[in-house]
Amino acid sequence: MRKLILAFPVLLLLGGCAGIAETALNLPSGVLTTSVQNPVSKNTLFRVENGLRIAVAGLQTYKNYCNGQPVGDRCDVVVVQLQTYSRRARPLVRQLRTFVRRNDQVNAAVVFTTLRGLFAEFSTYAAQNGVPVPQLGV
Amino acid sequence: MADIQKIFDIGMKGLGLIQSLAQQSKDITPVIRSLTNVFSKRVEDVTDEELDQIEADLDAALDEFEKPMDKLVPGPKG
Repeated sequence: MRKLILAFPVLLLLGGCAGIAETALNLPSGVLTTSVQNPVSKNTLFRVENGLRIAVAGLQTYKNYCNGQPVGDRCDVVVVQLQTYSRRARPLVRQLRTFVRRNDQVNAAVVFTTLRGLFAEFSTYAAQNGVPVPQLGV
Repeated sequence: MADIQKIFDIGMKGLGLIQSLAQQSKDITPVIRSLTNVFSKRVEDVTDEELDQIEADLDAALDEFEKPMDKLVPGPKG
């Protein structure tokens, strides 16, 4: 019950703001669907990173909650798994930064697509486990 | 009128998140900055400085999130 109470305000915003300007909260909506016709620009990179920053804040909140639960709680497994997604995403984000700053659109698009797939996987896992993160909509 | 109500609702939800995160986060400033970016839709002409800032914020957040949970770190023996 406490978990629900804790998650609710975060969920409200992260989930409820989906209508705002295809926001970075709803990260890939209009962002991660970028195609060759819509190059991965600095603005896109900014929106991705900004959205991720907010999503990670939600994950951190969940982690902090979990830290207060007894060892062996189901949330332990969830947090560890979410951390593996985070660790997989990190080098991709770094690569994306490099390619976008060099305006290497070919490689940027490849990394972008990979990152989008990872977001989808992560989003599904988070949703299945009731973790308050944006529905990524990819 | 419906639009005004919608904006109000969104604002209230935003405040709810900020309140929740403020209770949980050691430093809420980067989160507020990110939320401000979203609400002000600053995605038209991002400067290198803004990009550097958000990247630093994200890296710091990931560093914190990727740390093992305190309860899972073995304490000193003895």
